[in-house]
Amino acid sequence: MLSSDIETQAALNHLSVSADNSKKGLSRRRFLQAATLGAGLLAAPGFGLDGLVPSWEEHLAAADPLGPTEGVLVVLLMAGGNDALNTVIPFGQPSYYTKRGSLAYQAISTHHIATGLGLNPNLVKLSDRYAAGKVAIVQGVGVVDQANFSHFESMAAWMQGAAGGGPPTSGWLGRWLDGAPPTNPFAAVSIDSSVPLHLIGNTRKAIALNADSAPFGGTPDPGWDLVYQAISNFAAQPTGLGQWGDAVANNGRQLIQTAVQAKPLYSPALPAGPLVDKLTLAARLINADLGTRVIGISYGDFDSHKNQTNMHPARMKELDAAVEAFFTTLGAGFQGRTSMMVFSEFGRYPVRNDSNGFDHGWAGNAFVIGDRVAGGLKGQTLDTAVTEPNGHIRPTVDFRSMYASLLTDWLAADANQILGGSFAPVPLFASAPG
Amino acid sequence: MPTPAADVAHLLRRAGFGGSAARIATLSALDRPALVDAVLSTTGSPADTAPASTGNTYVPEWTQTQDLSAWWMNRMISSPTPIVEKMTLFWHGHFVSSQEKVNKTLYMHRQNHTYRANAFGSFRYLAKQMAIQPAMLNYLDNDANVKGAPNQNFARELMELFLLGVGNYTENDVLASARAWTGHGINEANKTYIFNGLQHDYTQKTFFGTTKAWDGPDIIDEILNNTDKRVIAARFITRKLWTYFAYANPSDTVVNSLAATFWTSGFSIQALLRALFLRDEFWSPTARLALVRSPIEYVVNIMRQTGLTPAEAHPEWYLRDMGQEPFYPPNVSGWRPNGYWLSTSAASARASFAQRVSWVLNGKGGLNGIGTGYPGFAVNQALDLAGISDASANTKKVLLDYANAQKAVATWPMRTGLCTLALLAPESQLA
Repeated sequence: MLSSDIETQAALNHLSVSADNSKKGLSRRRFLQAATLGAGLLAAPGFGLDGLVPSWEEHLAAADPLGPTEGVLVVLLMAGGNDALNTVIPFGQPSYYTKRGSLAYQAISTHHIATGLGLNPNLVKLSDRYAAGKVAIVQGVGVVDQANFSHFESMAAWMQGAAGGGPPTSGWLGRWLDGAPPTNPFAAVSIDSSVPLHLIGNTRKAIALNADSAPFGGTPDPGWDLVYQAISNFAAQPTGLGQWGDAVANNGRQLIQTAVQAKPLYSPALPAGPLVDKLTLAARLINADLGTRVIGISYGDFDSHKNQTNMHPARMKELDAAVEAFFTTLGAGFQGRTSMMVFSEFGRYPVRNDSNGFDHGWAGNAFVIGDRVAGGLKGQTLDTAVTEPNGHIRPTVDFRSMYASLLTDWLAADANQILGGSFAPVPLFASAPG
Repeated sequence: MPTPAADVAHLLRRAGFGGSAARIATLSALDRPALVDAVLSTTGSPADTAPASTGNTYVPEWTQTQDLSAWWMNRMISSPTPIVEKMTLFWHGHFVSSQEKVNKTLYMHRQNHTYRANAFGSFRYLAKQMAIQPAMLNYLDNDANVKGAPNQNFARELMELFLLGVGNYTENDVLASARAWTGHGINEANKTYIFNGLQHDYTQKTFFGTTKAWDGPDIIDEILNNTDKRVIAARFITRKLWTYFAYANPSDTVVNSLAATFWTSGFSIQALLRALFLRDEFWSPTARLALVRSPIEYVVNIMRQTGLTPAEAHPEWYLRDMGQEPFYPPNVSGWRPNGYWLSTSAASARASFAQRVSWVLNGKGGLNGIGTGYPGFAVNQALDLAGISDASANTKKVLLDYANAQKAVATWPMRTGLCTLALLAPESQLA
């Protein structure tokens, strides 16, 4: 909300780079143009910053563009436990109405996708995409081994994506990143102020870009360029201040290394909204062809214990608009190479509570969206008639089966190794990325 | 026997927001136990009067919260008893509520006040007061938890995140606890806690194997009285406090010993903290370099050190992107230490803040002491300004190389440049 203040403040003290990168179709060529234009300004008489230009070129070279068949995966977490039953609505089940009363949707208001099944009224554009065969709905997905109604534990299970005792220290996409080419800092990106577990590996973790403001250090400025370089230099040798001293220094260096290439992503200003800004930034990042393969975004709050009538429709509306913005911003050349997985750490209880909401549930529905997706329904529709265990709906699809398909068929990675086991993949894709 | 200055500095950094050279010198005269007692003293803690806009219905909530954040940061900067503010911050990140949902600054201040007023007393009393704060009743939906249709949110988090940790209770215990807490809600007209007997489930419930007509506060008592659970609770809180003040992943030896002190003292927070700060492990070399400053600590330390006010430095423009906004914990499990704060976007926010602080200081003439003609001298001045008394060889080298390179081009950026670099040096970012 205050980021425009920051940018104004910062802009007063920066030379501005020509606004050539204002067009929607940001390409790698434009990136190089923008950055070298900046370098050109610095080479003007009086600013003998020769020492700086080679290191910028070195940073630019580190970002390898995507290979023609390399897939990009965007992972979007609906944090808090999305109410799956009101997202993919089983209006054909009488118990849906008996258990949910006034919080149930009438069949006529949903977007019908199968007999007795419809999408939430606010998922307008997503329904169109489903009709076009570009959306796979994985029904009844969850942590099958055991119900866990703790946000924290359930999210950790989804993010860790592997069995193992003790607190999780790495996540499935982080472990993918461990095996990715090491010179590309943009391979995995979290659009947030921190990096969540699923993007943390054993040896590497994703970088973070905030949708609020462009990273520090990305704008050429004769008063500050040597400072940017110096920030990076804290990590040129061990700090002598232990593990965390080194970690702080490395973090600063990574910031400076990625700032130049990331800066053009923020022009023109991102649309305002809790999710549309992040997904638009994600699309621009992919279009810039910096070699980004994985993007993680999380958004909420979906924890509708009470007053669901206000919360959930609003979330659905934001989700629909943001996903649409993502795919319309995404360049034509990347549509066949990009897929998005939308998931939540659990669904919600079929029976409403007396605060006009739903407590934590178990099985949920996930979406995989994209041009190469084998659209349609996977798994079994959630059955609201169940009475055991305790009226909860048990998941029938292990979320790791979904991961297995994403890793094998989309990221061309070794799913068994990353997931620590073999899981029969859910068939999510009609063809490979390309 | 007096305490070495480096030790005093370490304690002041952890148990507060840093200390001036003068304060360090004064406290160095004391031996360790007296030093700890002095730093844990709450005498002279300023009265807790909320800013004028808090609860003023003519002022938008957004503005009220900004005012309250600035007010709290001013307390952190200027209070003679910073340990009180550090503990308030700890409880805020542990017994979590967020203005994002609560949407009443009045409630958030009242909760903040509850944590401050009870930061060092009986943990049992603190937990019970916490449970009936309107902010908490709203945040975890207990205000909607009524007889006949219990809402489990608060009952679950009370055990999972607040007192015991996962795996130390059953789902049936959660259900029983939810029923016990029915009726404890908010009087919206008066904006206070109210117990509504008509909405309370007075029937028998079985909790931790005992069947009786449990009421909410009884649940807390049981957790802290039950022979097995009280040990678990004591260790749970102790581990978290140790991680907050000393380092992550403490050994069971440390945790169990301190936890025993905690419950045998009747859950006195003061007793636990005293024992914690007197433990040798707290003073070990491991502990000294073990924590990354959280965003709030980072900005408060810089403002204390440089004398800038929140109105001048505007930390609120950067704290969210750094990952820690007062009154807006991201979710009910609060914040995490160390690695959680280290991402490129968080680093960007810290760098932008350090840059801003340098500009403002420069504008006030606060950087005039940095003599740009002599790089070596300038570096020392900048390190002093940032409060770094024992800079590493690496940090000195980075600053000196910068100063020399900058001087070769133009001297006008050198003051703000050196100041920014000193504020971003690893020494400035470690707790």
